[in-house]
Amino acid sequence: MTPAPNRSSRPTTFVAVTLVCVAVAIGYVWARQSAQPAASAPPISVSLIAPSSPGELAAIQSQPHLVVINREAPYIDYVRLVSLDPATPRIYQTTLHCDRMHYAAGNGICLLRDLSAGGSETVRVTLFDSGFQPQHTFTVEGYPTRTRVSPDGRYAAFTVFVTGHSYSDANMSTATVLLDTASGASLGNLEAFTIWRDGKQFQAPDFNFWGVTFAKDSDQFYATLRSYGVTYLVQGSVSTRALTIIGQGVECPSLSPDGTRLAFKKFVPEGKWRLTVLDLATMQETLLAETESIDDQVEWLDDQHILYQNIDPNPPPWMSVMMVLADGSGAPEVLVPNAISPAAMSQPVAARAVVDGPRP
Amino acid sequence: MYQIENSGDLIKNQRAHLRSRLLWLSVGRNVFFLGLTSLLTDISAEMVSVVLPLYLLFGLRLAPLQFGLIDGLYQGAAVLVRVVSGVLADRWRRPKALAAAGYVFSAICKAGLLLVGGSWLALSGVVILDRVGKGIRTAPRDSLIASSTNSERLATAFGVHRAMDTAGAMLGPLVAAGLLALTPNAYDTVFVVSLCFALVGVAVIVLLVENPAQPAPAPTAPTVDWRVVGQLLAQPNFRALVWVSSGLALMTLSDNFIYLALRRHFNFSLGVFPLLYVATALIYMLLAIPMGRLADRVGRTRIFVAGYGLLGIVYTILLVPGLPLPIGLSSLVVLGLYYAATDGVLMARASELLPDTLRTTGLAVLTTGTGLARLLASFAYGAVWGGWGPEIANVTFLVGLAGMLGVAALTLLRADQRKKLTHDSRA
Repeated sequence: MTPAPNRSSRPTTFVAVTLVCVAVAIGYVWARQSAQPAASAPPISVSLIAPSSPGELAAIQSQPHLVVINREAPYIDYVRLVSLDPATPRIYQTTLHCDRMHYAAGNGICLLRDLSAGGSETVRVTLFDSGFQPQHTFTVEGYPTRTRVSPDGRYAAFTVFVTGHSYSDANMSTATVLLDTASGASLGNLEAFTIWRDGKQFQAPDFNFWGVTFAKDSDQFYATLRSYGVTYLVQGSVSTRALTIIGQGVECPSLSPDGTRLAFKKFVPEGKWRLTVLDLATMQETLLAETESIDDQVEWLDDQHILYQNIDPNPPPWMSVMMVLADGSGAPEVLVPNAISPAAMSQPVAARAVVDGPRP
Repeated sequence: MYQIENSGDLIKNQRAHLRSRLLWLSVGRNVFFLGLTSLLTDISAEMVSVVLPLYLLFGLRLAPLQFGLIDGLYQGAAVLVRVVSGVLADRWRRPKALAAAGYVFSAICKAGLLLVGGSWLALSGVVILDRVGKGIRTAPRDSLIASSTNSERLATAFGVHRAMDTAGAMLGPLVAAGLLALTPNAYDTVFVVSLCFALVGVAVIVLLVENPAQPAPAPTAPTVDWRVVGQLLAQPNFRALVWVSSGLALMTLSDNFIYLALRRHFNFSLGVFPLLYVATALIYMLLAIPMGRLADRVGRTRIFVAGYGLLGIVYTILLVPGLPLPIGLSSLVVLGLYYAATDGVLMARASELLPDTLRTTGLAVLTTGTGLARLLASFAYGAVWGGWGPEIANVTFLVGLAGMLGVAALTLLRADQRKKLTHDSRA
């Protein structure tokens, strides 16, 4: 191989490139670090937020409302109550900081990455009451993803990703745990339950469960199980600690308030997830009007409306609570801008109660 | 004055010589620099791969399971790219250009992460491009290692490269964790620093790695195209190596399954998994060079086959009822040793069999075969486990591995022996 004419200058060029890269890296880290808020931001107190007196909380709780995680400055990632009454829109800002949250019948669960250790491999799980005050808290390993409270508030379930990073391949696995909300005690990981398929016990080394949804009696629940790339719908019981495979291709199910249908994300051949409703009596599936790929465990507002989080098509493009009809008709609309993780506290609501939250 | 200066030069020369021997571990600067490129690129890649799920989940509020799916779907494409890149590297006789192009691809992807923002389609595009980059560069890089090395030292050279590569993969997550501790939630910091590591890696291969001298092709030599794949597989020695190493790979459990089996014995939390990976990688990193040297001395085929014997020992340990913890942990050491004895050593053995002009294609074909076999193995293991339970699955794989080892001994080792005999009788 003939040497390139500029070969002798190569080491010099290399040193120059390296110095520039090192300088850029150090400079960028330094700039970002000094841009971070000094120390940790002071905890937000309820009094900071205009309409949030205990009386206000009671007032909102007496009418149909949503509990959401706010994604709007200055209280990004703090739980907030939003009334669904279009006549008197009200907001109550809580001091609960969550990445993922659910709430039902006066009991809530909040998952938050624990950044105190510097890394981000632990999740702080907090069970809270109707005053949005923490009752039980503990940490688990992993990253928060799904969580649910049973309709009567007795049980809660949460799913975390447990990652194993390797030098050869990145692997993702999940852990799904049931909790007793009164005591905060764990009722066990679903992987320890007995799993049945076609009347026989089913075993595999790579069970991953996620997305629990409880039935009205709280004992029965549905969830997703994946093993070797096949996604199953399982039906389980807290009391018997058993799970039965009843279907396939159902991810992150959510049971309708009347218990007749499951809304879920269905992986379709175009390579995306479509929101779909499964009728449990006929096993008929209906694709909903939302055509974008949705990766969420949805929430039923009532028996006709489904809430989920997606990027709001209007600027600013950030996650908002969207609403779509459960029968496949209509079109998606924004229900609460700049919010995620909706939990609906609604006696059957007159639909189309769109709240226009302030936009930055 | 003149004399003093002169002796100073002498000492300096001697020192430089010594330093170069220590630093490059007597494998030559090209291999060292290729190792450095891999080290930097792996730091860059691993720091992104540990924070990407976090970024999607909390930076953008998307869920990473979506990503896993996409990743699986495009595995096949990366396999195709690998062989195409190998053929092109041989046709143009420019392995360095193709390897460098693969590294540039991945560096562009790091910049892409900063630019594409919240669209998961664009993000998965970036990840696919990154996979393509890896597919393009692997075979030409291994081919460069082989052609930069004296044939007696091939396994040592691959050992040095794999040790540096593994060091990078272990450092990446540490760098990312350090950055996130300095600037919590600022994922862009991780991406920018990752891009810087990737760019220095590209600079090393472009500016410091040299295209080793290649014999001019015979004027009548036909253009290299995809048909050479068939020609290569028609050569008995290479064909045997591809079949046997793919057969062995078919009986190879992925690390994950081995750790899951250990978990059944000791019931540790899933959070311990990264530590098991680190432990295995550490052993691999430390032993890659000594095992390479040993392979160069006593024979690459022997060490390669013995490496799979070690894997059989791991399987056997996992079957012991009431396994004591120290022996359970020692299986990780044996697993690391197995990697050190097989991964680079197989490439060294193949490089020695392949003609210089078709080496890159040959290496690409070989790694495609073993890669596909490993993928199949995971599915087969899962099916056996699902049907008959974990013990039967482990026994099946142990028996299968023993059978394949028998085949390997009968074909590869015998061929080696025969070659030696003819060589001796000729001498």
